[in-house]
Amino acid sequence: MDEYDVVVVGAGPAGSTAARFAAEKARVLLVDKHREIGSPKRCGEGLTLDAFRDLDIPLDKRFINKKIYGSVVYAPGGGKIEIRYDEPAGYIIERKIFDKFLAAEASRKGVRVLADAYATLNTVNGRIMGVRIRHQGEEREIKAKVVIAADGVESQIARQAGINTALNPRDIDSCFEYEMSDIKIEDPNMIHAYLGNKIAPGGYIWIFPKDDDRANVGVGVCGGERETAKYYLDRFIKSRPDLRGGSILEVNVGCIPVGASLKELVRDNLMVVGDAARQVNPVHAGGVHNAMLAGKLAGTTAAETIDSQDLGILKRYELGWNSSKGKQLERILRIRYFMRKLGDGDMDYLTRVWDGGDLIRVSEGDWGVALKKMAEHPRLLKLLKKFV
Amino acid sequence: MMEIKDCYGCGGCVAVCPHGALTIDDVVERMDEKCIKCRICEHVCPNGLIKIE
Repeated sequence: MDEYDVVVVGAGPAGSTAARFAAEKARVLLVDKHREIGSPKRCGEGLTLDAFRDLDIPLDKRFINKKIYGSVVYAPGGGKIEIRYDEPAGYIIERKIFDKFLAAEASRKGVRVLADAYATLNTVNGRIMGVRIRHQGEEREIKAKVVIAADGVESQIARQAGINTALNPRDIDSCFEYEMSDIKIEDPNMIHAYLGNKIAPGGYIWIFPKDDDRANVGVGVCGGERETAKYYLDRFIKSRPDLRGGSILEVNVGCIPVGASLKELVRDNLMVVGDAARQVNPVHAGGVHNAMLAGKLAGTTAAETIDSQDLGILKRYELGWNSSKGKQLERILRIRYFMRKLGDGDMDYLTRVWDGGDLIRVSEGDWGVALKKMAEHPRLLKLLKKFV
Repeated sequence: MMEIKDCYGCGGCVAVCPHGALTIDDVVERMDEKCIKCRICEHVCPNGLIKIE
Protein backbone atom coordinates (compact mmCIF):
# COMPACT_ATOMS: atom_id res chain seq x y z
CA MET A 1 0.00 0.00 0.00
CA ASP A 2 1.23 3.48 -0.91
CA GLU A 3 1.04 6.20 1.68
CA TYR A 4 0.93 9.97 1.26
CA ASP A 5 -0.02 12.97 3.35
CA VAL A 6 -2.29 14.39 0.66
CA VAL A 7 -3.86 12.83 -2.41
CA VAL A 8 -5.41 15.13 -5.00
CA VAL A 9 -7.95 13.71 -7.44
CA GLY A 10 -8.03 15.52 -10.77
CA ALA A 11 -5.15 17.34 -12.43
CA GLY A 12 -6.94 20.37 -13.83
CA PRO A 13 -5.96 23.90 -12.76
CA ALA A 14 -7.53 23.47 -9.28
CA GLY A 15 -5.94 20.08 -8.56
CA SER A 16 -2.45 20.84 -9.86
CA THR A 17 -2.38 24.15 -7.99
CA ALA A 18 -3.59 22.53 -4.76
CA ALA A 19 -0.96 19.82 -5.14
CA ARG A 20 1.82 22.33 -5.83
CA PHE A 21 1.09 24.33 -2.68
CA ALA A 22 0.44 21.32 -0.47
CA ALA A 23 3.84 19.93 -1.48
CA GLU A 24 5.59 22.71 0.38
CA LYS A 25 5.16 20.71 3.54
CA ALA A 26 3.51 17.43 2.59
CA ARG A 27 4.08 14.30 0.54
CA VAL A 28 1.53 14.63 -2.26
CA LEU A 29 0.10 12.35 -4.94
CA LEU A 30 -1.86 13.89 -7.83
CA VAL A 31 -3.95 11.50 -9.95
CA ASP A 32 -6.02 12.07 -13.07
CA LYS A 33 -8.37 9.63 -14.73
CA HIS A 34 -7.50 10.75 -18.23
CA ARG A 35 -4.70 9.17 -20.19
CA GLU A 36 -3.42 12.64 -20.97
CA ILE A 37 -3.53 15.51 -18.49
CA GLY A 38 -5.27 18.49 -20.11
CA SER A 39 -7.22 16.42 -22.60
CA PRO A 40 -10.04 16.43 -23.50
CA LYS A 41 -10.26 20.11 -22.72
CA ARG A 42 -13.62 21.68 -21.96
CA CYS A 43 -12.97 25.38 -22.11
CA GLY A 44 -13.07 28.56 -24.12
CA GLU A 45 -9.43 29.02 -23.03
CA GLY A 46 -9.61 32.71 -22.10
CA LEU A 47 -7.59 33.72 -19.04
CA THR A 48 -7.07 37.24 -17.69
CA LEU A 49 -3.67 38.72 -16.97
CA ASP A 50 -4.68 38.89 -13.29
CA ALA A 51 -4.87 35.12 -13.15
CA PHE A 52 -1.23 34.81 -14.24
CA ARG A 53 -0.20 37.45 -11.70
CA ASP A 54 -2.21 36.04 -8.80
CA LEU A 55 -0.80 32.56 -9.27
CA ASP A 56 2.69 33.60 -10.31
CA ILE A 57 2.45 31.79 -13.65
CA PRO A 58 4.86 32.91 -16.37
CA LEU A 59 3.51 34.29 -19.65
CA ASP A 60 5.05 31.36 -21.46
CA LYS A 61 4.59 31.37 -25.22
CA ARG A 62 4.30 27.58 -25.20
CA PHE A 63 0.72 27.86 -23.94
CA ILE A 64 -0.25 31.35 -25.07
CA ASN A 65 -2.00 31.44 -28.43
CA LYS A 66 -3.05 35.05 -28.59
CA LYS A 67 -2.89 38.29 -26.66
CA ILE A 68 -6.31 39.80 -26.06
CA TYR A 69 -6.87 43.54 -25.69
CA GLY A 70 -10.50 43.54 -24.62
CA SER A 71 -13.97 42.30 -25.36
CA VAL A 72 -17.01 43.13 -27.45
CA VAL A 73 -20.46 42.11 -26.22
CA TYR A 74 -23.23 42.09 -28.83
CA ALA A 75 -26.91 42.49 -27.99
CA PRO A 76 -29.42 40.79 -30.30
CA GLY A 77 -30.71 44.05 -31.82
CA GLY A 78 -27.28 45.09 -33.08
CA GLY A 79 -26.16 47.17 -30.08
CA LYS A 80 -22.78 46.41 -28.60
CA ILE A 81 -20.52 47.28 -25.72
CA GLU A 82 -16.80 47.37 -26.27
CA ILE A 83 -14.01 47.57 -23.77
CA ARG A 84 -10.52 47.94 -25.14
CA TYR A 85 -7.19 48.31 -23.34
CA ASP A 86 -3.84 49.58 -24.60
CA GLU A 87 -2.02 46.59 -23.15
CA PRO A 88 -3.05 42.90 -23.27
CA ALA A 89 -5.71 42.25 -20.62
CA GLY A 90 -5.80 38.52 -21.12
CA TYR A 91 -4.75 35.61 -23.23
CA ILE A 92 -6.27 32.75 -25.15
CA ILE A 93 -4.25 29.82 -23.91
CA GLU A 94 -3.82 26.22 -25.02
CA ARG A 95 -5.33 24.32 -22.11
CA LYS A 96 -3.77 21.01 -23.08
CA ILE A 97 -0.30 22.52 -22.72
CA PHE A 98 -1.23 24.81 -19.82
CA ASP A 99 -2.69 22.00 -17.70
CA LYS A 100 0.30 19.79 -18.37
CA PHE A 101 2.60 22.68 -17.47
CA LEU A 102 0.81 23.12 -14.11
CA ALA A 103 1.08 19.40 -13.38
CA ALA A 104 4.77 19.43 -14.33
CA GLU A 105 5.33 22.45 -12.07
CA ALA A 106 3.70 20.51 -9.23
CA SER A 107 5.96 17.55 -9.93
CA ARG A 108 8.99 19.84 -9.72
CA LYS A 109 7.86 20.79 -6.23
CA GLY A 110 7.91 17.15 -5.25
CA VAL A 111 4.38 16.06 -6.14
CA ARG A 112 4.09 12.56 -7.58
CA VAL A 113 1.80 12.79 -10.63
CA LEU A 114 -0.02 9.84 -12.16
CA ALA A 115 -2.25 9.97 -15.25
CA ASP A 116 -4.64 7.24 -16.36
CA ALA A 117 -5.56 6.65 -12.72
CA TYR A 118 -9.27 6.48 -11.92
CA ALA A 119 -9.91 7.14 -8.23
CA THR A 120 -12.71 6.31 -5.84
CA LEU A 121 -12.87 7.35 -2.22
CA ASN A 122 -11.81 4.72 0.29
CA THR A 123 -13.81 4.89 3.50
CA VAL A 124 -13.69 2.47 6.42
CA ASN A 125 -16.52 2.75 8.97
CA GLY A 126 -17.29 6.23 7.67
CA ARG A 127 -13.69 7.41 7.96
CA ILE A 128 -11.92 8.60 4.85
CA MET A 129 -8.73 6.58 4.60
CA GLY A 130 -7.61 7.70 1.17
CA VAL A 131 -8.51 6.50 -2.31
CA ARG A 132 -8.45 3.39 -4.42
CA ILE A 133 -7.05 3.92 -7.87
CA ARG A 134 -7.25 1.86 -11.03
CA HIS A 135 -4.16 2.47 -13.09
CA GLN A 136 -3.80 0.56 -16.35
CA GLY A 137 -5.95 -2.29 -15.18
CA GLU A 138 -4.31 -2.57 -11.77
CA GLU A 139 -6.14 -1.68 -8.55
CA ARG A 140 -4.19 0.02 -5.79
CA GLU A 141 -5.00 1.43 -2.41
CA ILE A 142 -3.55 4.83 -1.54
CA LYS A 143 -3.56 5.83 2.09
CA ALA A 144 -3.73 9.58 2.73
CA LYS A 145 -4.37 11.90 5.66
CA VAL A 146 -6.13 14.43 3.44
CA VAL A 147 -8.02 13.93 0.17
CA ILE A 148 -8.58 16.89 -2.15
CA ALA A 149 -11.43 16.44 -4.65
CA ALA A 150 -10.63 18.38 -7.80
CA ASP A 151 -12.51 16.01 -10.06
CA GLY A 152 -14.57 18.48 -12.03
CA VAL A 153 -18.24 19.22 -12.48
CA GLU A 154 -19.36 15.63 -11.89
CA SER A 155 -17.43 15.51 -8.60
CA GLN A 156 -17.85 11.90 -7.61
CA ILE A 157 -15.30 11.99 -4.81
CA ALA A 158 -17.24 14.67 -2.88
CA ARG A 159 -20.43 12.67 -3.38
CA GLN A 160 -18.77 9.55 -2.11
CA ALA A 161 -17.88 11.49 1.03
CA GLY A 162 -21.57 12.27 1.51
CA ILE A 163 -21.55 15.90 0.36
CA ASN A 164 -24.62 16.62 -1.72
CA THR A 165 -23.22 18.17 -4.86
CA ALA A 166 -26.28 17.68 -7.10
CA LEU A 167 -26.97 20.82 -9.10
CA ASN A 168 -30.23 22.36 -10.18
CA PRO A 169 -30.22 22.17 -14.02
CA ARG A 170 -30.77 25.94 -14.23
CA ASP A 171 -27.48 26.33 -12.37
CA ILE A 172 -25.59 24.55 -15.09
CA ASP A 173 -24.42 25.87 -18.45
CA SER A 174 -24.62 23.26 -21.15
CA CYS A 175 -21.81 23.97 -23.61
CA PHE A 176 -20.72 23.03 -27.09
CA GLU A 177 -17.65 24.39 -28.85
CA TYR A 178 -15.72 24.04 -32.07
CA GLU A 179 -12.18 25.13 -32.65
CA MET A 180 -12.53 26.55 -36.14
CA SER A 181 -9.91 27.61 -38.64
CA ASP A 182 -10.04 29.50 -41.91
CA ILE A 183 -12.70 31.84 -40.56
CA LYS A 184 -12.99 35.59 -40.73
CA ILE A 185 -12.71 37.29 -37.34
CA GLU A 186 -13.70 40.93 -37.30
CA ASP A 187 -11.12 41.86 -34.68
CA PRO A 188 -8.90 38.95 -33.62
CA ASN A 189 -7.34 41.01 -30.81
CA MET A 190 -10.66 40.99 -28.96
CA ILE A 191 -12.94 38.31 -27.56
CA HIS A 192 -16.50 38.44 -28.84
CA ALA A 193 -19.69 37.49 -26.96
CA TYR A 194 -23.17 37.35 -28.48
CA LEU A 195 -26.24 37.60 -26.27
CA GLY A 196 -29.87 36.93 -27.02
CA ASN A 197 -32.74 34.72 -25.96
CA LYS A 198 -32.96 33.21 -29.41
CA ILE A 199 -29.19 33.05 -29.95
CA ALA A 200 -28.22 31.45 -26.63
CA PRO A 201 -30.96 31.38 -23.98
CA GLY A 202 -29.51 32.02 -20.53
CA GLY A 203 -25.97 32.15 -21.83
CA TYR A 204 -23.95 33.45 -24.75
CA ILE A 205 -22.04 32.51 -27.85
CA TRP A 206 -18.33 33.23 -27.77
CA ILE A 207 -15.62 33.70 -30.34
CA PHE A 208 -12.22 33.51 -28.63
CA PRO A 209 -9.45 33.97 -31.23
CA LYS A 210 -6.46 31.63 -31.06
CA ASP A 211 -4.97 33.14 -34.20
CA ASP A 212 -6.02 35.75 -36.76
CA ASP A 213 -8.18 33.21 -38.61
CA ARG A 214 -8.71 30.53 -35.94
CA ALA A 215 -10.89 30.61 -32.83
CA ASN A 216 -12.84 28.73 -30.23
CA VAL A 217 -16.42 29.24 -31.30
CA GLY A 218 -18.76 27.99 -28.62
CA VAL A 219 -22.03 28.34 -26.81
CA GLY A 220 -23.27 27.96 -23.27
CA VAL A 221 -27.00 27.73 -22.66
CA CYS A 222 -28.86 27.37 -19.42
CA GLY A 223 -29.63 23.73 -18.62
CA GLY A 224 -33.23 22.80 -19.26
CA GLU A 225 -33.67 24.75 -22.51
CA ARG A 226 -35.77 23.30 -25.30
CA GLU A 227 -32.94 22.70 -27.70
CA THR A 228 -29.44 21.37 -27.14
CA ALA A 229 -26.32 23.53 -26.94
CA LYS A 230 -25.17 22.01 -30.22
CA TYR A 231 -28.39 23.14 -31.90
CA TYR A 232 -27.83 26.79 -30.94
CA LEU A 233 -24.20 26.79 -31.99
CA ASP A 234 -24.78 25.13 -35.36
CA ARG A 235 -27.61 27.53 -36.11
CA PHE A 236 -25.46 30.56 -35.25
CA ILE A 237 -22.59 29.36 -37.44
CA LYS A 238 -24.92 28.67 -40.35
CA SER A 239 -26.27 32.21 -40.09
CA ARG A 240 -22.82 33.77 -40.32
CA PRO A 241 -20.98 34.05 -43.64
CA ASP A 242 -17.75 34.77 -41.75
CA LEU A 243 -17.93 31.40 -39.97
CA ARG A 244 -19.89 28.92 -41.99
CA GLY A 245 -17.16 28.06 -44.50
CA GLY A 246 -14.62 27.33 -41.75
CA SER A 247 -12.99 24.05 -40.87
CA ILE A 248 -13.50 22.23 -37.59
CA LEU A 249 -10.28 21.27 -35.82
CA GLU A 250 -11.79 20.18 -32.54
CA VAL A 251 -15.18 19.45 -30.97
CA ASN A 252 -15.58 20.18 -27.26
CA VAL A 253 -18.52 19.33 -25.07
CA GLY A 254 -18.98 20.26 -21.45
CA CYS A 255 -21.14 21.52 -18.64
CA ILE A 256 -20.23 24.38 -16.30
CA PRO A 257 -21.53 24.60 -12.72
CA VAL A 258 -22.58 28.24 -12.49
CA GLY A 259 -24.66 28.10 -9.30
CA ALA A 260 -22.04 29.74 -7.02
CA SER A 261 -19.78 27.87 -4.62
CA LEU A 262 -20.68 24.78 -2.70
CA LYS A 263 -21.02 25.81 0.95
CA GLU A 264 -19.53 22.68 2.42
CA LEU A 265 -15.99 22.73 1.07
CA VAL A 266 -14.49 20.58 3.82
CA ARG A 267 -15.85 17.48 5.47
CA ASP A 268 -13.60 15.65 7.92
CA ASN A 269 -10.35 15.18 6.00
CA LEU A 270 -11.78 15.89 2.53
CA MET A 271 -11.52 19.22 0.70
CA VAL A 272 -13.34 20.18 -2.51
CA VAL A 273 -11.92 22.63 -5.07
CA GLY A 274 -12.56 23.99 -8.57
CA ASP A 275 -15.55 22.96 -10.68
CA ALA A 276 -16.21 20.18 -8.16
CA ALA A 277 -16.93 22.99 -5.68
CA ARG A 278 -18.61 25.13 -8.40
CA GLN A 279 -16.14 27.95 -7.93
CA VAL A 280 -17.20 29.52 -11.22
CA ASN A 281 -18.31 33.03 -12.13
CA PRO A 282 -22.08 32.61 -12.66
CA VAL A 283 -22.28 35.38 -15.25
CA HIS A 284 -19.42 34.73 -17.66
CA ALA A 285 -18.87 31.12 -16.54
CA GLY A 286 -15.10 31.46 -16.33
CA GLY A 287 -13.63 29.10 -13.75
CA VAL A 288 -9.89 28.60 -14.21
CA HIS A 289 -8.78 31.68 -12.26
CA ASN A 290 -11.05 30.89 -9.29
CA ALA A 291 -10.09 27.22 -9.44
CA MET A 292 -6.43 28.10 -9.06
CA LEU A 293 -7.11 30.59 -6.23
CA ALA A 294 -9.10 27.92 -4.40
CA GLY A 295 -6.42 25.32 -5.13
CA LYS A 296 -3.78 27.58 -3.64
CA LEU A 297 -5.84 28.21 -0.50
CA ALA A 298 -6.76 24.55 -0.10
CA GLY A 299 -3.24 23.30 -0.79
CA THR A 300 -1.63 25.76 1.62
CA THR A 301 -4.16 24.87 4.32
CA ALA A 302 -3.58 21.14 3.79
CA ALA A 303 0.16 21.69 4.14
CA GLU A 304 -0.31 23.51 7.47
CA THR A 305 -2.49 20.70 8.69
CA ILE A 306 0.16 18.10 8.02
CA ASP A 307 2.75 20.30 9.67
CA SER A 308 0.73 20.79 12.85
CA GLN A 309 -0.97 17.36 12.91
CA ASP A 310 -4.30 19.13 13.47
CA LEU A 311 -6.97 18.21 10.90
CA GLY A 312 -9.29 20.87 12.32
CA ILE A 313 -7.22 23.46 10.50
CA LEU A 314 -8.67 22.23 7.18
CA LYS A 315 -11.87 24.19 7.87
CA ARG A 316 -9.88 27.39 7.48
CA TYR A 317 -10.04 26.83 3.73
CA GLU A 318 -13.84 26.72 3.82
CA LEU A 319 -14.10 29.77 6.10
CA GLY A 320 -11.56 31.69 4.06
CA TRP A 321 -13.28 31.00 0.75
CA ASN A 322 -16.85 31.48 1.95
CA SER A 323 -16.08 34.82 3.58
CA SER A 324 -14.37 36.31 0.52
CA LYS A 325 -14.59 34.85 -2.99
CA GLY A 326 -17.59 32.69 -2.14
CA LYS A 327 -19.54 35.77 -1.06
CA GLN A 328 -18.70 37.54 -4.28
CA LEU A 329 -19.89 34.56 -6.34
CA GLU A 330 -23.19 34.62 -4.43
CA ARG A 331 -23.68 38.24 -5.48
CA ILE A 332 -22.85 37.39 -9.07
CA LEU A 333 -25.31 34.49 -9.02
CA ARG A 334 -28.12 36.95 -8.31
CA ILE A 335 -27.02 38.94 -11.34
CA ARG A 336 -27.21 35.75 -13.39
CA TYR A 337 -30.82 35.27 -12.26
CA PHE A 338 -31.58 38.90 -13.15
CA MET A 339 -30.04 38.46 -16.59
CA ARG A 340 -32.05 35.30 -17.21
CA LYS A 341 -35.17 37.47 -17.06
CA LEU A 342 -34.03 40.06 -19.59
CA GLY A 343 -35.81 40.28 -22.88
CA ASP A 344 -33.86 40.91 -26.08
CA GLY A 345 -35.03 44.54 -26.02
CA ASP A 346 -33.72 44.96 -22.46
CA MET A 347 -30.29 43.76 -23.55
CA ASP A 348 -30.27 46.29 -26.35
CA TYR A 349 -31.28 49.00 -23.89
CA LEU A 350 -28.41 48.11 -21.58
CA THR A 351 -25.89 48.29 -24.42
CA ARG A 352 -27.08 51.85 -24.98
CA VAL A 353 -26.77 53.05 -21.38
CA TRP A 354 -23.80 51.02 -20.13
CA ASP A 355 -20.19 51.24 -21.15
CA GLY A 356 -17.55 48.53 -20.98
CA GLY A 357 -16.50 49.45 -17.46
CA ASP A 358 -20.08 49.08 -16.18
CA LEU A 359 -20.39 45.66 -17.76
CA ILE A 360 -17.13 44.41 -16.27
CA ARG A 361 -18.02 45.70 -12.81
CA VAL A 362 -21.49 44.16 -12.95
CA SER A 363 -20.07 40.78 -13.99
CA GLU A 364 -17.83 40.97 -10.92
CA GLY A 365 -20.82 41.65 -8.68
CA ASP A 366 -20.46 45.43 -8.32
CA TRP A 367 -23.44 47.50 -9.50
CA GLY A 368 -22.07 50.95 -8.70
CA VAL A 369 -22.82 53.50 -11.39
CA ALA A 370 -24.33 50.88 -13.72
CA LEU A 371 -27.43 51.02 -11.54
CA LYS A 372 -27.82 54.79 -11.86
CA LYS A 373 -27.64 54.52 -15.61
CA MET A 374 -30.73 52.27 -15.56
CA ALA A 375 -32.77 54.95 -13.79
CA GLU A 376 -34.91 55.67 -16.84
CA HIS A 377 -36.04 52.09 -17.06
CA PRO A 378 -38.26 51.49 -14.00
CA ARG A 379 -39.27 47.98 -15.07
CA LEU A 380 -35.66 46.80 -15.16
CA LEU A 381 -34.97 48.44 -11.81
CA LYS A 382 -37.98 46.68 -10.33
CA LEU A 383 -36.83 43.39 -11.76
CA LEU A 384 -33.39 44.01 -10.39
CA LYS A 385 -34.73 44.62 -6.88
CA LYS A 386 -36.13 41.09 -6.88
CA PHE A 387 -32.68 39.61 -7.26
CA VAL A 388 -30.11 42.04 -5.92
CA MET B 1 -33.81 1.96 -20.31
CA MET B 2 -31.19 4.61 -20.74
CA GLU B 3 -29.54 4.91 -24.06
CA ILE B 4 -26.50 7.13 -24.51
CA LYS B 5 -24.94 6.97 -27.91
CA ASP B 6 -21.50 8.45 -28.51
CA CYS B 7 -21.19 10.00 -25.04
CA TYR B 8 -18.42 12.63 -24.87
CA GLY B 9 -18.03 12.08 -21.14
CA CYS B 10 -18.51 15.70 -20.05
CA GLY B 11 -20.27 14.71 -16.82
CA GLY B 12 -23.02 17.34 -16.87
CA CYS B 13 -25.73 14.73 -16.41
CA VAL B 14 -23.87 13.27 -13.44
CA ALA B 15 -23.71 16.73 -11.85
CA VAL B 16 -27.47 17.30 -12.02
CA CYS B 17 -28.71 13.80 -11.15
CA PRO B 18 -30.48 14.29 -7.80
CA HIS B 19 -30.30 10.60 -6.99
CA GLY B 20 -26.69 9.84 -7.70
CA ALA B 21 -27.83 7.29 -10.27
CA LEU B 22 -25.17 8.18 -12.83
CA THR B 23 -21.48 7.43 -12.70
CA ILE B 24 -18.74 8.32 -15.10
CA ASP B 25 -15.33 7.01 -15.97
CA ASP B 26 -14.84 7.70 -19.66
CA VAL B 27 -18.54 7.60 -20.48
CA VAL B 28 -21.68 7.75 -18.38
CA GLU B 29 -23.27 4.68 -16.87
CA ARG B 30 -26.54 4.39 -15.02
CA MET B 31 -27.35 2.44 -11.89
CA ASP B 32 -30.86 1.36 -12.77
CA GLU B 33 -31.99 0.78 -9.21
CA LYS B 34 -31.38 4.43 -8.28
CA CYS B 35 -32.89 6.07 -11.39
CA ILE B 36 -36.44 7.36 -10.94
CA LYS B 37 -36.69 8.56 -14.56
CA CYS B 38 -36.97 12.25 -13.63
CA ARG B 39 -35.19 12.96 -16.93
CA ILE B 40 -33.28 15.96 -15.63
CA CYS B 41 -30.16 14.48 -17.23
CA GLU B 42 -31.75 14.70 -20.68
CA HIS B 43 -32.04 18.46 -20.34
CA VAL B 44 -28.39 19.27 -19.78
CA CYS B 45 -26.67 17.00 -22.29
CA PRO B 46 -25.06 19.50 -24.71
CA ASN B 47 -25.40 16.98 -27.50
CA GLY B 48 -28.90 15.73 -26.68
CA LEU B 49 -27.59 12.19 -26.48
CA ILE B 50 -29.55 10.92 -23.47
CA LYS B 51 -32.92 9.32 -23.95
CA ILE B 52 -34.69 7.88 -20.92
CA GLU B 53 -37.59 5.60 -21.66
